[in-house]
Amino acid sequence: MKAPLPARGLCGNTSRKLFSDMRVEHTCLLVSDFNAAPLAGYLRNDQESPVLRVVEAPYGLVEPVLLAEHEIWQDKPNCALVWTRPQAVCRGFDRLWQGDVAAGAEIDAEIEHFVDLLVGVAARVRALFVPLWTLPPHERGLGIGDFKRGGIAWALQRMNAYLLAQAEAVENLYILDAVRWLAAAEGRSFDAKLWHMGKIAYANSVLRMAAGETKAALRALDGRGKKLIVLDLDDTLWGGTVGEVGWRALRLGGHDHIGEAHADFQRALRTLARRGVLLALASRNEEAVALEAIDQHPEMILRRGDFAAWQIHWGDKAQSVAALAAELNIGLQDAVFIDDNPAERARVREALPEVLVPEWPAEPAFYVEALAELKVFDRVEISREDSARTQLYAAEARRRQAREESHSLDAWLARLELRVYAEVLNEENGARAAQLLNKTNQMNLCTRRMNIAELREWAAAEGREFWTVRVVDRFGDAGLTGLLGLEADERGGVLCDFVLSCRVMGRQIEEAMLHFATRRACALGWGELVARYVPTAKNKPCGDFFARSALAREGDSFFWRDSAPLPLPSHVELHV
Amino acid sequence: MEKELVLERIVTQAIDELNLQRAADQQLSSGPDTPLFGAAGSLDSLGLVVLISEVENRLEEAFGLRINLADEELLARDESPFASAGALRQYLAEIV
Repeated sequence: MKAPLPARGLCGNTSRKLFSDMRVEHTCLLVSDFNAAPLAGYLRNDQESPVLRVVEAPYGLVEPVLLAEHEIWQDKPNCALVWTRPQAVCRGFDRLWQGDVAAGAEIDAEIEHFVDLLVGVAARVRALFVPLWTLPPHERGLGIGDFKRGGIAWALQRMNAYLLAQAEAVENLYILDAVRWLAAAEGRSFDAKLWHMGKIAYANSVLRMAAGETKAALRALDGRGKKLIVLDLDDTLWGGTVGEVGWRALRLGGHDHIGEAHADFQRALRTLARRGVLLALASRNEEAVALEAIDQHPEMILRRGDFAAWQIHWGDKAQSVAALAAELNIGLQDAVFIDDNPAERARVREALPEVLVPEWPAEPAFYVEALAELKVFDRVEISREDSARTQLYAAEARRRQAREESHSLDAWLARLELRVYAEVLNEENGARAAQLLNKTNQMNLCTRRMNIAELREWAAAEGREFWTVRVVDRFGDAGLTGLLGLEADERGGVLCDFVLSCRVMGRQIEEAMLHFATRRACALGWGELVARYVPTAKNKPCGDFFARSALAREGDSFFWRDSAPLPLPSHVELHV
Repeated sequence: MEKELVLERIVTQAIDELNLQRAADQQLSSGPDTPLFGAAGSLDSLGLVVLISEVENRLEEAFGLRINLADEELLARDESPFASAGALRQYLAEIV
């Protein structure tokens, strides 16, 4: 007798809450040709952010809803999930599926029409999600001949290929990998009883996974991916206790399944690091012993330079995690703590409830899967800054050391040899600019959020300018870390966006940006530039900066009315 | 594990799964007296379909048995096995 299948929660280790009384962050329109009510339920109840209000279109009315003729659009959804079966949107495919014949051109024409409808939907929402077309695993078509012309597998690939090609050209149309969802259900992706009795086209496990993946996609679009993984060493990154057995006897790589599992886990972590997730260490060990293992063990995939910071000592791990987050200037809510020891996990979970502390498998073979199942590291795109993030933080550590060695702030600033490069929003810097706009909280004048398509549209309108700011000093390139949005109005202009990454705050880059904004106002012939501060729970540093700036204050508005720009700090070189 | 304990877990987990699809004010307890389907129950036909599917799949997983619970005769009984969580557990104990 086997144990029954567990009813898996959607949130890993946390106890289940219902979102009924929490703030709705997105309204999602759910459109399908099958009964998607269970999926709507999963989307509403999924424990992870963001909180969704789900508007269900009546199933079977796909085309009228996509054409915006349906009253459901009055609910003003800002995102949509359109999930259809291939036989429901393409008559040619349906005929092939039923053993009849259909020409490739006929299938192409119908899919082109359907994708045109999707493009129309994309223009009405912030994000449109479309799962790949799939068939239940028992559909074998012609078997050996199914990928030849006239087979249903051939037609399905053709349809999906067209969809993917079109999605490349539509910035806010995102294809979701339903093929993977079905594969994860291990042959149970289709439930005949759910279909025959309820017209539910997928098993509950597939729908639950679809809900989780859709939420993960929204988190990525909202810039809410986790930024930091704090890792234990012994029996987490390698097998064994280095302080007892020495680094040569650690189980890592080699012809050993435990060692191989740890090496694979390190590879998965390195992949995340290359996508911009910072790695740090919190280990109870002698620091010199642990670092020697990291430096010397021939099978280590991650080396010292892959870790942005570490706390290796015999102290409390919760304090270590908090210290690492503080050192790296990362909010605790953006950190994940991974440790094989349940007692350490419980301690960190209790002391730092904002940190995500996932339950962790006892068997190292499952570490890679456990990491992937967290679904908190998704990215829309990988920017140059993401790829080099660990190096950016290493440069920051050298900068802090220089600060400690300098006798005054001015002396330190002079030693930095700061250069600021202002560049107008363009094809290359747009992704990073949108990422920064959506992630920055502290030095953010209005906390305006826009996705990349919305940002480009805003910036392209007449009377507006959107500038990006890159900061470089003698320790390295901090990357694109500042944004300025300017818009003409009847009295001059408005500083719509003033955004600076906390990574470079406190070096008078803020003053350099204000100089540049007022310089643009002069060049544009504006007699006035107003910055309207919109207070939030997190942007007090921005309000404080404007309050002590040379701008004239009236309530929460700050005015420049002059014929000359505000001064550029003497230690900053500005390049436009 | 005793058969009854496995059956109790199967019903509990099926109700847990169903609750993941239901609104906050429609959550079902898995206690034996919880009304499910029928005059006193809050399950609609779609909810019943999901419950049946979940229980059948879990029975197959645990016992290797393919049992059909979507039976009109069962639904029409005066004492329907879907009337409450307890009645469902009792019915499963009779047939497994």
